[in-house]
Amino acid sequence: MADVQSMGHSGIQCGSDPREGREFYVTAFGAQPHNWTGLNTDDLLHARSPHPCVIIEDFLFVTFPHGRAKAPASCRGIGSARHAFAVSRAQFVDALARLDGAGIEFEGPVVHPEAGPLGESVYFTDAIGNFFEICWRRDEDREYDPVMIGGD
Amino acid sequence: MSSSRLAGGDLLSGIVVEVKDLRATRAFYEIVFQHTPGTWREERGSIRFSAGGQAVEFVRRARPRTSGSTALHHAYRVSAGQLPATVDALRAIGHTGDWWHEDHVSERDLMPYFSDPSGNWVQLVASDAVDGLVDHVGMEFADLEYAEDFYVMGLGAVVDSYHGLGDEPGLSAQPWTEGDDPCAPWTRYRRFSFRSRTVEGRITPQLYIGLGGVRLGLFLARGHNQEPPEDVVKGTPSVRLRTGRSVAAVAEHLGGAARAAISARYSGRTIAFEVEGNTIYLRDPGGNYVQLECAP
Repeated sequence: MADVQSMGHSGIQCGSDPREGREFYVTAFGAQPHNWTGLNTDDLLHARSPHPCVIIEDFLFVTFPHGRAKAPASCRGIGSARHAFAVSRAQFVDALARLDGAGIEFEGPVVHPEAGPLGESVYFTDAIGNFFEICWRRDEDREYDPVMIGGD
Repeated sequence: MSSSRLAGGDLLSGIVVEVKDLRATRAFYEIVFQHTPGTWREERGSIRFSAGGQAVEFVRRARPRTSGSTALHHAYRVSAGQLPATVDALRAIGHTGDWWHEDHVSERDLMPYFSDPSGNWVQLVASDAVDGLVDHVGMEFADLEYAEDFYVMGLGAVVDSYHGLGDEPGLSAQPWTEGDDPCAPWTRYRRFSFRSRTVEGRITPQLYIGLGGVRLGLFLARGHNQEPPEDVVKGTPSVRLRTGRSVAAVAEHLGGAARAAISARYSGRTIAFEVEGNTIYLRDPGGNYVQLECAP
């Protein structure tokens, strides 16, 4: 059995307009737009539909256009499954300011129990209800293995 | 100099079109431009029609590079009241033409398209605008992402709109697939779906960009076509843009900020250009030639 290091990327629906979907990650997380699949002739000839990728630090989101345009019922989306990104406690303040500046409604900061691993979290969704969390960890000094993207 | 400042004064000053026969070309385009106040000028190997600050130059080539099966097309403005008569006149000399629509919001109604005597697609746009002969130009690219970066980060264009990227409300290839939707052929394609195991109609990914008051339509190529050599930056057919910036300022931008932006996105790639007098010659990522006419 292969030794799994970590989760490398997520494929996620982004609404009917993939450019707008990509923009959400840029404004909400400060993500870097990466490449598109499906916007070159080779891809077209291989029946690959256009979809962009964005990178949040060491994490890759492959976003797929989908016609679902459902306003989320709450900042906690539909169900509880979510992508949760950890930042330092100092960066957490910046993350909130970024969400505020982008006009993205969020719930929190929610303070977690002192004995637990998490300090605070905010919860929010994109336009079609994908659920996200940004938190800071009380063990933020712990070292993590960075994930390599694109064979770097 | 930022790319937005480069875009500030940009205008389409003209296009250069390759043709096989100048006499037949003039006979065709004299009808297209018959109600447009302008002047014809003949030179050795070319003819030029100038109107409203723009010029269309037709250069003779033994084997002209024309539209073929690509999205290359030139849209000319024709007075709305004169459009039917213009269509009739072209039909009278043997050009049957087609009525198609495209996907840009201003091109959803059927419009007449003709193939000129050399095989260049000509779109006639009903318009009473007095500031320009050319409404827009459509071009094709094997890499639409690179094309956007070239024109937006390199030349300072602004994204106007896009289609064929997702599930756009009100836009579907299905009617075209069933033969009920007369679309310009470069806006649709068929592909075998490995999911449904059937042949499906699709909307060609396309991006519209603005340079000053001019719109360029960038279409993803639906097949591989021969392009000119990558190291040749001076050629035809071409699009001529005018900018109020000096040649030194534009060259500094292309060789500096624009080059850095492109090479950051595409390792090893750059923006090649040549300067001759006040003109900068470029080849875009689709092999389309661009001339930037700079301020003296």
